[in-house]
Amino acid sequence: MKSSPFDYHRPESLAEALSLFAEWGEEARALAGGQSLVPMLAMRLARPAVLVDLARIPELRGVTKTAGGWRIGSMTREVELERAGGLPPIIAAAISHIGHFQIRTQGTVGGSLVHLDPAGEWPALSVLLEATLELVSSRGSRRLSAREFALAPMLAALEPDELLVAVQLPDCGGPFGFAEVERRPGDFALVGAACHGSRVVAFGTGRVPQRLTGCEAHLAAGGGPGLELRKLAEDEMEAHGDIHASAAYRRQVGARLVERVVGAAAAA
Amino acid sequence: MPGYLADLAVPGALELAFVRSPFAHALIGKVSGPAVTATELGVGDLRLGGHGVAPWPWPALARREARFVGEAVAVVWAETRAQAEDLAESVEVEFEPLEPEAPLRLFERTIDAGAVEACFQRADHVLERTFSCARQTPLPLETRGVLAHFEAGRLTLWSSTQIPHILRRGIAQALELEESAIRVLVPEVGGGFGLKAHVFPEELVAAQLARRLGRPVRWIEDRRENLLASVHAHDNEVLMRAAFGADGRVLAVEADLRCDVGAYSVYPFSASLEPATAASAIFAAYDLQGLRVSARAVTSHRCPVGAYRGVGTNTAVYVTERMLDLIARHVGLDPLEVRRRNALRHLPCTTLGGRELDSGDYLELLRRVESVSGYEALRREQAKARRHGKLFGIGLALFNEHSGTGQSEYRSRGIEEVSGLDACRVRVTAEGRIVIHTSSVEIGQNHAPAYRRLTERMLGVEPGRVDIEEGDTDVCPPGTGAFVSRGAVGVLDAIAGALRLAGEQDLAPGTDVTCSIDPKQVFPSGAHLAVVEVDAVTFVPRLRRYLAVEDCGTLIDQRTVSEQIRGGVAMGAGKVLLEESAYGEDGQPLAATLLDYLVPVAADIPRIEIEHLVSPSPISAQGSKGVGEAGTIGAFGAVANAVADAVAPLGAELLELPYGPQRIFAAIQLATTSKQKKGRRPGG
Repeated sequence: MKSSPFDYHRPESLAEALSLFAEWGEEARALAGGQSLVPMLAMRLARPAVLVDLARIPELRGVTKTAGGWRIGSMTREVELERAGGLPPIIAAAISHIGHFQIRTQGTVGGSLVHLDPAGEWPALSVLLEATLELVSSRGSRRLSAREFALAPMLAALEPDELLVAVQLPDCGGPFGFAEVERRPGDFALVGAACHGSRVVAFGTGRVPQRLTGCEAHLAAGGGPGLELRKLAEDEMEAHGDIHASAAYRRQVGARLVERVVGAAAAA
Repeated sequence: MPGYLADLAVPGALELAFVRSPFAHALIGKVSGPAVTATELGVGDLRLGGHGVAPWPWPALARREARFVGEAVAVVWAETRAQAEDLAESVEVEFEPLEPEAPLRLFERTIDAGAVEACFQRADHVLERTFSCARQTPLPLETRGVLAHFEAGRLTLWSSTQIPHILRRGIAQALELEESAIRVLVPEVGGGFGLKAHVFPEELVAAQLARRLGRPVRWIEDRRENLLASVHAHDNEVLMRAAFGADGRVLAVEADLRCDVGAYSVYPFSASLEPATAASAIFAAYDLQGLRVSARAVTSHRCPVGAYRGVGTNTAVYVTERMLDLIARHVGLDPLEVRRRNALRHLPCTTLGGRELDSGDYLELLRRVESVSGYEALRREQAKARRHGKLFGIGLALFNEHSGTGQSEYRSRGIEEVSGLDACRVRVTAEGRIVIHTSSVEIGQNHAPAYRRLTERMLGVEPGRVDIEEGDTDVCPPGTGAFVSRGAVGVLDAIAGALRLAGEQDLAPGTDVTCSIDPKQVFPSGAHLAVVEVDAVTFVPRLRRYLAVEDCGTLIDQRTVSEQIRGGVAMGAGKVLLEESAYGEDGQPLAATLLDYLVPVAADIPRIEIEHLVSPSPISAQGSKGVGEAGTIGAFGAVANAVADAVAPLGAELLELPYGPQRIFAAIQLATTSKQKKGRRPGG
């Protein structure tokens, strides 16, 4: 489990990083904390010719309060957010489910968003809160909604020469619910659900985080937790089976989690 | 010893990497690239002698066919492991996938004792269930590793092993060398748990390449290789029938065990390990009038099965203890009461399965569990939790296990490669220091305090004057190694014997004496209690409390005993709740990383309470018994029963390990569906 050979660059500015990606394109991979990429390198599931470590680029780090909400630099480590304080509690709740403390000291917000594990907390949160993703390349910049960004499992709508520089979250205070099924504390979720306002997302079940529009309509119409909500969730939730949980488990337990997070949001 | 195997600084050492089969069964065609194949390597098999064991040796490198995913097909070497992996990747092997072969039966043990038929005829009740134990792997933190150097006609083999002398014998035989031409050295070992009690193909390859290349070669296994191609354990299916009275007394038991032992027979234990140890451990702590067991080892296209802390006893205790809980439920008795009514009362005795139990007090074990756990209050707490909709379970296990297996038992299984002897050599240096060498090795058991205490007690020598040097076949006396919990049995007896001889020479400088022992199995016992809560929504089980009342005879070092039990319990709890070396229908492994092979982390294990009961063994010289495996074995019963008890009010019955959320969910679904079906049927 040693990676295949690669060249390593650690640019100190965004411009320098962008020129590397412009030069190397698909042959380059960004190292953004490495909590998933480094094991993938070791297993040779990823074999970039060039690894661009984004750890030393100041423009990519930090959290700022904006007019409409929050802007989080893509290389902000999860532990920095935990320590920052003042962030909406739904973010703190989601972060507490990300791996262990040791993982959160290295893992970054952007790393998780681009890696796009179907059970990842940041993709789920970004879809739930309708976040906006700022992408930049040497050709210019653009913005995508979280749903546009999440194309498929482990596949973000990112051009080979593009970098995710920040995620913009709207104001997301107020009641919420966030729940996961983990076999061990810190594991990737077998299934997860979160609720904010009348929005509901399920994750770890389908290919990408899934907004449960039927459930949302039910809530918007004044409905609450209960058998009807659970039935709606069960009917619309995409689910796959693997060695840890069957599709039936994910759908049924996922629906109970939806009920739980909606209940938590309603009770707050 | 200077650190772990990977830390040994050996100038000029080459690092090996293996080209492994991606297919469960395939013909091997042309191999192109910078690799050495079986033909070019020219090494014989690790052949098992003896009778009763079908030869089915695991080749150093696959020859014509590969028989499981991960089997080594060719080997490459380079200055660094990373470069070696690049080379391995560049090798092209023409595989022609084949259909799976029909399973072969490599070993069978049968027991037919007492009046089985009569018991089944007169019993009030008969219960029949099929249980299964998931395929698992011991997963030592430090993976396997070997470093071989051939110099001046002599092979030096550093290995992270539990069996230095057996390794020397196996390598000598396959490489056609004299045993005296090989020196095996064991550096610090980061855990063995049975996995390192085998001679592995990679060790043969490393030894032969060192001879051929004239340079030291090293192989450090990576985690993927460890999960796919070291050894697995416990892939067992057990059909069990029990005949019992309305009073919960079990009269007779029949069990049929099918043990999937994977693609090859392992050296030195052969394929007999799981079936032979499981058969005699079925209901071994209970008083039966009839016992009939058939236990078979059959092949498959999976990783070979080998030793694992507790071996077949884990399966046996799991099925026995689950069955007793089902019996208790069937007759409406508390599980503790059912165990009290069935526990063996008069020890020593010989069980129907042939275990010659040397000492123990099983009713006292149960009494201690009852009083220390506050059993009645715990059941009240459970009733209250259930009223609040919680899935709260209490599980018990009562068991014994064999420790310190000697020569005759191995010979009876047809195994000649394990001497079964334990030995100790005591030297007194010119400076008057006492040096203890044994045939065992230090793999984390903490031998030194126990050896020093014994020396102090027997000879009045202060501990600071005693050195312990194990794991070097040039200076240590030949013997069996460190497995089957033999440290507190034969090894300690041998140390006592050698110390006595040294004492007779007044510990004069230059004293050099050796004592060799053929130990007789002694049987530690225990009663364990686990409390598990299953989340009513997610069905994730969490271990909340654990009590182990253990009896390993005379305690040589109480702290060491307690920590052995604690580590064992954590391991067993992981096996019940989490671990599974899963395979797909096509023989592809599905748990190839630690993301999928789940082991317990610190947060999964509560504080483990330990209570000691001491029934000295009349057989071992110190009255002590082995304790390395008891924790794991007990947890297989107690944790499984606790999970099952938690969901029993829902009508769910758990039979297949591990008891993870998916299995619990499925069992509850099944119970709900069958209840609905019953409800619909007119007349019920």
